[in-house]
Amino acid sequence: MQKLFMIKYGEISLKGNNRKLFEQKLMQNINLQLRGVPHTVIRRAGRIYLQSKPPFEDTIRTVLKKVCGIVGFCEALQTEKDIEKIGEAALRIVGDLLQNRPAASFKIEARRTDKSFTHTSYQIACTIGDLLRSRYEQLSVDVSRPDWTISVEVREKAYVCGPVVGGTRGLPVGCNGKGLLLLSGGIDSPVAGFLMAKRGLHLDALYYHTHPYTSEQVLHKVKQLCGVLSGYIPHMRLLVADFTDTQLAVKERGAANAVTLFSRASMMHIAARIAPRNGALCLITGESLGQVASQTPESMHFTGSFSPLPVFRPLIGLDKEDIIELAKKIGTYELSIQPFPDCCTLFAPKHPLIRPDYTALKQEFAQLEMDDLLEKTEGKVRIVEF
Amino acid sequence: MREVYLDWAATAPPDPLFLDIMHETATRYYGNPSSVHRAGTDAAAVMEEARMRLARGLGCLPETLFFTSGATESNNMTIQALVKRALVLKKDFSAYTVITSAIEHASLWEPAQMLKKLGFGVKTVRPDAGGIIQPGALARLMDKQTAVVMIMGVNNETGAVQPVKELVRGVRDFSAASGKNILFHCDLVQALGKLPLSLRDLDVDSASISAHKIGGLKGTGALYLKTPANLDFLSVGGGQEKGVRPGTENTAAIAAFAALAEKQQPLIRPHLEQSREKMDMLISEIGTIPAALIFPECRTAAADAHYSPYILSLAFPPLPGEVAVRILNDHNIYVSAGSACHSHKKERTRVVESMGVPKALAECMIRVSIGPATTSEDIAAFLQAARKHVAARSRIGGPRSLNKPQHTTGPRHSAGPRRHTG
Repeated sequence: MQKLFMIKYGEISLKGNNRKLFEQKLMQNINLQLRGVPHTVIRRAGRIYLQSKPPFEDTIRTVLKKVCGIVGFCEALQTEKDIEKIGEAALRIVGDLLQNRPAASFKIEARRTDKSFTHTSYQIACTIGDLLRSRYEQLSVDVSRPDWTISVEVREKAYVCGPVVGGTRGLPVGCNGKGLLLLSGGIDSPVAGFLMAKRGLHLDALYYHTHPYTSEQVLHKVKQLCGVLSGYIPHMRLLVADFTDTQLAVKERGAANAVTLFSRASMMHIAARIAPRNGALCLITGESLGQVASQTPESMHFTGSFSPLPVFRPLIGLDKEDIIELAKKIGTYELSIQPFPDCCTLFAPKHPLIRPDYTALKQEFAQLEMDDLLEKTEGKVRIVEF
Repeated sequence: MREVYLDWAATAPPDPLFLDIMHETATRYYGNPSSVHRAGTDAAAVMEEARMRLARGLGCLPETLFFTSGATESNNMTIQALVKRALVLKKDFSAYTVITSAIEHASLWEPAQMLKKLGFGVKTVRPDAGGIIQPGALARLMDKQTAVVMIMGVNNETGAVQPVKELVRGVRDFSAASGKNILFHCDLVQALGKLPLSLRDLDVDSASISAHKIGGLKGTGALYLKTPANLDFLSVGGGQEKGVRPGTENTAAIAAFAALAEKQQPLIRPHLEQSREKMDMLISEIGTIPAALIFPECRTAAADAHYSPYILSLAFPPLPGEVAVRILNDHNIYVSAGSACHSHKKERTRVVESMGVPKALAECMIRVSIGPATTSEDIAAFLQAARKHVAARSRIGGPRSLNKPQHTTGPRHSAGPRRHTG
């Protein structure tokens, strides 16, 4: 009898002829995210299984919950195709589960792809269900809303699986190419990155550092945020661009109430040029409609026009509360709310433009003669690996 | 590049004497001062000798000094003693009123705010525009409910020296007239080792001091209690420090603290003179930097006895204080910011705001604090960096707005401290 994790994936199974590619990506990501942990990932008859050893199981459970593309996983025992062995496995699984709670309801779901097996699916369910009930008095059967669903699958081998633990869902990171996330250190941008990673986008993050106007603590916070995101995005890198000269030029040359928009325009411009050099073909921002002055349709029309690459804004239709809930779920919230601002008050206009005139502002920006500075900033990028 | 340390009010660099004494005491007198055997009694003797030496320098009796972990604990202890008294006497908390000043250090201000939440009466006496608490302002707040008055000796942000003797006299006069015994607590952290100090002369009922501000070990300090029986404390345990502050004493740090205080005692006046010269140089040179402001505006020369020549607050508006600190840090010059950009809490700018300085300007404040080892070269290095790097950075700003009438961008034109012009 061998213990293993059975990994379930949803959307990938819809991918027709590309399914194998998606599965391979998923396996590759599981291996990457479990580097340093002894394990083996196997693909067998349209399923992914993971084998490991006892001291590492907790780590594996934590990691599998974060691998994009996994709908859920369960801990299973692989056994011979023999109804008695299957019964033994079911008793062991339920025995383990009962160590953490005194009583529970359960149901058995049985499937067999091997039609030559001695018992039909229905017979398997009845036999194993009776066995469990006769051994453990504290168990009751509930087929509509059970506490535990124990599944038995008879395929090339027999598998008895415990309850399914939910995963992150979505698609494996990297199966949809790569993007560049504009990461600020606030609540929104890490969530935006997570949502795009969940759609299979591999990410690097770009942070604009404005020393001495912003502190090293913000940079440290951004690194910590990347650390959390790298739990979902294997091999994520942080690019740190020195933005001080650009920021000062915008402040000195631009109209006071347009400073934020000009800064963001510069950020878009730089990001769109850094991205392709790092294999990224789209930008991701944490903008949410109407949240601040630079996130109105007019403002985003202006700032977005500085990127020839598509700009994805996955939070655009979300309320702040929804974003906070997601941030808490993915583990970035507590880091994001540390009180180190990513923009110095010096560069935040008291009365920023809310609905800028697109043409006028484009002309205004052109007059700032920022090209040389923007190009210089594009060249001043440090890379931090995770 | 040489490091220039101008943050002595935060902590002083360790005095070599303290390191020697720490090492020797920790090695030789390792016994628990409460133990009965010789290792213990020897350690107790070292500690009692330290208490005596410290008391001599402070102008008080040894039995009125109690070693603590520092001024934060000492300040908290006096506040908590009030809570215990009210609890023991089963009195309504609202029957007690504490008067504290708006310029207190957070280690006293925050516990006072806690008292407020518990239901005690808490009144705040505001300073004048110069950052000084006037006896008249205090007198207006005292009434029959007043139990304790808490006002510091030297403000840690502005260096304003408080007229503690006059304030205490005012409290005593009110007590005599009303028949109500009011205690006076004084945080003397920034006065210790810097200004001539006699607790007997000041006539305060309790006071807090900290060792690391004079080059001793962090986590060591003392609470002075003129009449120890007047206060009953919350912490209980092994009965150390006559039950005032239980917990095994840090003999080595205490011995070093006392030795340092003793060593510095005869040097206080000469150091004061030297520091006045340096502060004079600093203040007059700052006056030639058009972008710089000094808090409070009435502070012009270091010779002014109302301000400690060890502490100076200034600003380069609209540059936030935290940014100025980072710029100076890039040039290996260490000062501190009055407020951190990140905190929108009132607490960060409370002290200077209470002097009538607008919040936006208060956020630009930095504090330069010097010590006996500060050299004229240190001051010159600071001034050069301030002029060349900080003041230059404060002159940025967009000239106009689009689609809207022009508006100002910062505190540049606001009322407040005088901008020095060359």
